[in-house]
Amino acid sequence: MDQITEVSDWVIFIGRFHPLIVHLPIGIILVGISMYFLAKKKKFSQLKGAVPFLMGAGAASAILSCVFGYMLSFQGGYDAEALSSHQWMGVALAVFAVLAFVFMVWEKTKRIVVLQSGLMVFLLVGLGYTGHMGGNLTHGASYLTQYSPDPLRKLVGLPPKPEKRPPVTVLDSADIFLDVVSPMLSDYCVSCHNPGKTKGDLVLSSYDRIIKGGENGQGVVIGDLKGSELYRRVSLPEHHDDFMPPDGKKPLSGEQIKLLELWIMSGAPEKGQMGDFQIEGDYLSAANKVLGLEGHGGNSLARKVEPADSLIVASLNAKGFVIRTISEGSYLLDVSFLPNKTKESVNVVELLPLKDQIVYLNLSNLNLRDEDLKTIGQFENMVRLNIHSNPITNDGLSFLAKLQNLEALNLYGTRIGDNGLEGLEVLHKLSRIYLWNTEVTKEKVENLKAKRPDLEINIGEEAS
Amino acid sequence: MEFMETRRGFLKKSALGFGSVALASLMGPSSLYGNNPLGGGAQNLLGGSLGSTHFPAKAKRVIYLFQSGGPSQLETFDYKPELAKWHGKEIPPSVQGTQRNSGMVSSQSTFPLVKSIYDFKQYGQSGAWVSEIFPYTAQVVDDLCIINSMRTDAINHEPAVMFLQTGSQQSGRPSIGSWLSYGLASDNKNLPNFVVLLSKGGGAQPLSSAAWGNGFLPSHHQGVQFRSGKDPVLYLNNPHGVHDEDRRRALDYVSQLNNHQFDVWKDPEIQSKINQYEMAYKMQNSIPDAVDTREEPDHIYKLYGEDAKIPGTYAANCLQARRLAERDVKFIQLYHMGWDQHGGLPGGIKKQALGTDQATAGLIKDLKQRGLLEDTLVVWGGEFGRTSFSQGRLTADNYGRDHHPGCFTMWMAGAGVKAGMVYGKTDEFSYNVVQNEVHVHDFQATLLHLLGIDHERLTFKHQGRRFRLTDVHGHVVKDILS
Repeated sequence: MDQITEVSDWVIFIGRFHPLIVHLPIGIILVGISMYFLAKKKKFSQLKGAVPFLMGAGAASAILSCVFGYMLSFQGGYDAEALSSHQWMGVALAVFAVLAFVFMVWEKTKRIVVLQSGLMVFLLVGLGYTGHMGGNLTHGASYLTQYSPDPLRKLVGLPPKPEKRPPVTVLDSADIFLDVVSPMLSDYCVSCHNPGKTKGDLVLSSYDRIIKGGENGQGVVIGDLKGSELYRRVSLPEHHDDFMPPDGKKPLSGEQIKLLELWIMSGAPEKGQMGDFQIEGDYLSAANKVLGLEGHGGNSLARKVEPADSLIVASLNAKGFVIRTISEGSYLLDVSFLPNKTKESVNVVELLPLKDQIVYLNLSNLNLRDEDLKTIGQFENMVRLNIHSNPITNDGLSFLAKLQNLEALNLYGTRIGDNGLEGLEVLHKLSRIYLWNTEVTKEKVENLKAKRPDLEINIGEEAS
Repeated sequence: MEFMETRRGFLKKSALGFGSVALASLMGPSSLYGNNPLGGGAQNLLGGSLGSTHFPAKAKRVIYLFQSGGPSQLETFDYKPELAKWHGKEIPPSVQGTQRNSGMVSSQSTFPLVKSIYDFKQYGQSGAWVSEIFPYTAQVVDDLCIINSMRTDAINHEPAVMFLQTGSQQSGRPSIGSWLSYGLASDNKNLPNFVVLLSKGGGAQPLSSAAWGNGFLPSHHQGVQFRSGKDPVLYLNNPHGVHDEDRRRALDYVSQLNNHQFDVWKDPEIQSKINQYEMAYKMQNSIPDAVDTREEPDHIYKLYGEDAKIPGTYAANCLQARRLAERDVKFIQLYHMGWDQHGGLPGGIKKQALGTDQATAGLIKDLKQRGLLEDTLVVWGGEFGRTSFSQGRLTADNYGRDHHPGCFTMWMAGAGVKAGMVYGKTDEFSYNVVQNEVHVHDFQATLLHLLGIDHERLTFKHQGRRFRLTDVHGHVVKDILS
């Protein structure tokens, strides 16, 4: 909107109370109207005396609402047309509320009673309609109908619900705009940049408007990241004044920005399967992460699992296990057991109820035996396993073959030998292994390094 | 005195308390007390104020090797071959700019630039430049992330140490280790969360204990300083005739009395006291095992250097630090003093290097072979850098360097930082940062980030304001995160 005038913060501050106090006239007048009609019945005739008071209070609060609403309009960012009709409907409503009050206290003639009833009905309809328009202004026009079931949509003449995109299961078949870019913008941007609430004259809910941009420049310039205002805003340092989303809202992740970059550099198409673009390296891992396809070679720590049973966790805590979630919002667990002087062994089977949740496990220096690894071998989401300084042999290691998510394995100070290492070759994600103070020979290590150059093998410093 | 309950807090809680408990349990019946998915049990165990980290932590513990006095970046990691042609010439005013000098050179009429008397070579796959005074550190350079573009605001020791450790030049704020003890606590309830180890001998500059103080946090979060002698902690044995059960019983009664006082006064320091008595009791058992280095085999002593056999040396403290890290102490802070070479720098810094180089590198290697570098962060660095010009007279084999906040070198190694990286650049004089400046607050924000903490969300309300380690500054240096 062009006609935004600079006003004092007070005006907008007070204006923002409009959504609060606007419910006063709605409530009061509704009660007034219902009492008015009820009082016509003999049984409720005692209500009659209250009606003039209610209509008076309703009129006064309606006027106040209009004033507050007008103040709020200075904040800008609303659809001008919708705003203006809401505004004038509101004013009209206030005027009629005053009229209703006046007629109510006036001496009655037959004509006035008819007028009264007419006014009441008009007020009732007006209240509903104006309120609805106000709601549309704040929440967006589709807010109310977004989740309405299809039969109801048909009734009010809306098209049936847009087909929900099926969840992406294979990266190549995901659509670069519909599955990647559009959901991202919907989640992070559209609440302020929609047809109803056009902050900065920018709408990010349709392809054309995304490309077009807003008052600060073209949204997307194909192949030009610097010229694309949309990209520039989200990729600035977070403390920059122009950074979007603004303070207090969740910024896009590094991976999401990467994908936005990919889209713009690939010509910002309106649709197109990811498989048709050359996606490699950082872009590939970003795409996997954003689309939640990480099981196939991404970050195993973003896995979604059921929360662990808190009773089991509490009982394990009491037994000396240290159990924590890896971060807020995640149910994955980091479990350890601090070794003590007595080197008492732990009962690993007790951890079985947590087998899906455990990603980090540290059971070093606990007199763990080969058969304990049989249990540990079932913790398939495990990312980091630390079982150093335990009397474990090659036999036990063979149970770990199913830990396909394992990235780091600490075996120093165990009785592992060359043969045990062979079994680990099947762990494709394994990237770090610690073998200091074991029976593994240097030849075997060299041999394995040749086969798996990505694997970092640490055999420690020479003990000589 | 500060109380647990403020008047407003009390009113607010009593009005909203029941409502919010009800709401929280409605939202998720399995989590009666808010957002911890494990419910009460795990939260208690965690003990930290944060409940759980903000994002998955890369580092679970930190060993901070503080080189107090301000080691010269020019003789250690920031290689400036261009200084050779400027050697003995006056520093150009364009370089000096508006950076301040300390009062110690105010009577000096000439500021001759001076090149490093020590040679540099490139090491490792990363090809990082390291001075010849650090032959051992050079061996582990592929495990380090060397930051040559550090910058601080303070120009003198005390405020500069405070600034790095607490985020404020004035003393009175909590140290990094205290913040972590408060926010995360540690997995090992039998040892302090925050341990401080000082090399014995000291240096010309004193080091104040406020550097590991708890500031306004409850006082059981302050660093627990181990002695640099044969017995790191004294009086672990019960007095003759006092049995363990007697001690336990006495403590239980004292604790009852203290709890009673707490119920009356709500003074959080009473709880600190209860905590500290309990910790002392636990340490009677846990310390002998933790600090007994006699069981360490010879080849380990070879790794850290023979000094490690002498209690209180930097090397012995490095070894101690590894043992504490193995036992999950959250923050292990070492201080080694004597890096303040205003004059006689060539000899002075060589001596410092001899006392620390092998042990530092030994610690890295030892942590690595035990897999501890996976989730332990090691930090090395002083409180500021030193000037490119000579303090005092420049002779053929002697010179000095004054304090210089404008640029200095630190390194980090281990959990979550890129290994084999050299980050940031200074100009050809190592006087100004020209690329990727890392301010002290940025370093602190990055350190907290590695521990899974959003530095803006670890706060403590004190005197009407919420404080944090990075004050109102600090940006995570994402470039160095692995």
